[in-house]
Amino acid sequence: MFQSVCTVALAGAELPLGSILNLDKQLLIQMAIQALNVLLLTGVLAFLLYKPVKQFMAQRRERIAAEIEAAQKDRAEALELKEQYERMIADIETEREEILHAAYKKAMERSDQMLFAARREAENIYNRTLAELETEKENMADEMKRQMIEIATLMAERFVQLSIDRETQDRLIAEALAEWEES
Amino acid sequence: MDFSNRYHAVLFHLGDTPVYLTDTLIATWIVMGILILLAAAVRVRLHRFQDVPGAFQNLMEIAVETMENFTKTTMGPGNEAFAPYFFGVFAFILFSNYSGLFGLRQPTADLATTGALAIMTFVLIHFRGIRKKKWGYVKEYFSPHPIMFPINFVGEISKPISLAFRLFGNMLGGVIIMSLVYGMLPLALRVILPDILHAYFDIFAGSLQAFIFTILSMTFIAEKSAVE
Repeated sequence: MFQSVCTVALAGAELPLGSILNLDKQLLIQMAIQALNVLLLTGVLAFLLYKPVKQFMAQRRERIAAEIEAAQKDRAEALELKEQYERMIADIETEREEILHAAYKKAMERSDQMLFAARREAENIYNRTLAELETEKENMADEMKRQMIEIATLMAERFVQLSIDRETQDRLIAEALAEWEES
Repeated sequence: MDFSNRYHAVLFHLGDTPVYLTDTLIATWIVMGILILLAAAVRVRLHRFQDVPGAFQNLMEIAVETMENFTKTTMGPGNEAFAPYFFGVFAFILFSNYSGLFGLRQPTADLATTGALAIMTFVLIHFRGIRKKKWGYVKEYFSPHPIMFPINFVGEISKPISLAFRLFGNMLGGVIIMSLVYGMLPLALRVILPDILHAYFDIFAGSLQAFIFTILSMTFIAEKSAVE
């Protein structure tokens, strides 16, 4: 079964047959060689495989832990910033409400003032117009009186010219003027 | 039918004793080569590792993280430094057990390998115990009464022996059964039936034994180094 694997026997050398379990000096020597082999192998495996892989894993673990810690710190900062922004937005909303309220109040006051001024102006115009109308009415009455006087005078002159002398005419005029003055 | 760990060549002489190149050594070096190549591939590709891992990176991360967590939960805090060592031991035993799938004689089916692993665990148990407990370590052998010293001593000695022979026996049993099956079956039937047995002896039992050896070693070390 093992014939194909390792037949490197020296040609012509007389070798003893193999053994299964011989507690002899050869066993001790072979044990010492195997111990050296195993020590060499464990050393090489530890140096080339075990420790580098373990170190790589430890570094990766530390790096990932640091990244997670940094991410948690960033998240906490982001949450704090978010809260700040939300507070700012709430403040801005309140301020906006206050500004709007103040502007509305001011606009209402201005509107009241304008209405009041408009009413006062309209009232002034109305009063002024009434006064002008009164003046105009009086002027017209005066004018009518003047025209009536002229007409009456003309009529009286014509009548007097036809029926009375100069002396009577003057007396009548004086009496008429006196009556007007009394009224 | 040969289940033995064959000698292929003389590597060198240690005094008068020749040191042989065995099936176990060849399979061990192949397994080591594969694992070192895998580790080198990881090291080369490490700078291309991403935060979101791909399949290969994911596999390596799971392996390392599982061993790290397993060491912490089994040995308790303060023993994390053992994790790379047990990662290497577990990988070596697992890949050694799986090597039977590729026609190699598993290195863990040789007492030299399992004995070496068990002695390393034994050394770590007592080195750690002395370092942690100082004189308390010695007192433990005489507690609850000095008369218990022989039992305590044998209990400690039996730990590496049981560790070594458990793994060795399980894997050698698989090797023997598989050899018998291969020898028994005609050539045409050596495809399906051995596959099922390989799945059990090499993959299932191999994974289980690698796990058992590792967790027992961890438990023994942690138990001996626990300060009351």
